[in-house]
Amino acid sequence: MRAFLTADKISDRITRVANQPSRSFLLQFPSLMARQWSQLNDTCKDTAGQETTEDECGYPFHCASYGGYGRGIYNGSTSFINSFDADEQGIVIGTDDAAVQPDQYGLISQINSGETSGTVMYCGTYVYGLTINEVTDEAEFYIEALYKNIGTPSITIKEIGIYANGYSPGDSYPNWQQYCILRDVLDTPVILTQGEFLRVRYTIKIAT
Amino acid sequence: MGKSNIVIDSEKNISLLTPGKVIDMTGAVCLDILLQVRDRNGKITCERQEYGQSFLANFIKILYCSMMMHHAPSVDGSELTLFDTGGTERAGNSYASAIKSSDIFNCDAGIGDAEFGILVGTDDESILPKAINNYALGAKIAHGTGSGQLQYSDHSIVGSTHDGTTYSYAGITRTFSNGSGASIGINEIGLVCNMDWESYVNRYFLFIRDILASQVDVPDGETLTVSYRLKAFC
Repeated sequence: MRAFLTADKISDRITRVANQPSRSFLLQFPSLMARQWSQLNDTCKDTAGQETTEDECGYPFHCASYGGYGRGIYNGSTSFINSFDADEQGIVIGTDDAAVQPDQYGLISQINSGETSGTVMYCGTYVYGLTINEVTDEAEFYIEALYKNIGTPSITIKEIGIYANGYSPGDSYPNWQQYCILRDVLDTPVILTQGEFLRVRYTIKIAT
Repeated sequence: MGKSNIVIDSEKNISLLTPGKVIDMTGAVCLDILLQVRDRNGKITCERQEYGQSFLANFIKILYCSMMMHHAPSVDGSELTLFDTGGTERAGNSYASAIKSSDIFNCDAGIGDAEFGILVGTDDESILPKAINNYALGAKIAHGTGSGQLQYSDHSIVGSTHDGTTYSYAGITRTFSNGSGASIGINEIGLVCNMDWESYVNRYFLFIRDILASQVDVPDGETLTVSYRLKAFC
């Protein structure tokens, strides 16, 4: 399985500003998966850096609706979309370009959602577009997010990641944990000026 | 940023690929399959490591539903379905189904349960060629001590770990004991989950199937341990 990352800046026109292979699923992805497979506990850190020792969890990998059922936008038969202004889950962006290490548990310097200086409005993450090609034995889908710079003259984005949900049985919203399953450093930083949108898309692909 | 390379070492029997070939694994999430055969005294008589990339359609469908938290999204105008190990198409028609349940991807079969978890088979693709839409092994070995059967253990977790720079992994392990009276050749391995997918009825779904580069023989009285490690390179 591999992931590919693209990003487009949207103002009066659309400009492709990132087009690179994702290089870095992190420790939390195999850990969450092994917990589901075995239904046994394993230890890893959530995005707050808290070490959790958990067994299987509900809503694993879930990153397209904020918090839980009912908080996101239910897009009929296709998917949920993250709540507007939610930066705890889904695709997240940041300003640090420190090299990726497999045990990182979050972005180094995440940009929060907002309209004030130093923030960018998170306009939702959504998952869509599954295709399965029986001829080439390949399949893929997309995780996409949109951001708008409302309150900052200029902000430079250098890192992008995916925060996915996982909570232990017995926990209930809002005590769910999010785990950083992937973090990438952009080959070329993206400067987003006031009023501009940024669209980030991960393509998750398998080939049998 | 550095690359995560794998150099294929023939002495370690990493056998899927050409010895000496260097593959850039940076960014890949792959299956690291460890195979160990032990004799009656516990001595390892055969040890192999292979890299699999054999995620099936069921895998990406379940991951897709999980990530969007939707049990039955529309795909190309039709509702997404999974094929169970019996070949029956199953729709996730209950919202209180696996997508919000903790048994999503549940492979934790107990002793003697050959319906799910890590399963082994004898097919080398002569019965069922590997394809993304495979939903069952080509020739699954049944649990037991009869001819051609193996005794399935329960599972244990391979806890998450990393090397600090290039990879991390975690996974699951199962042991198979041969009390059949004759050697059994293993050519395929699969991972099947048991999920509450369809109106509170659990179904079995194969989501990984690997054909081994060469047959692993498990002589009578010996055991095979299979570990599937999900390995993420960065």
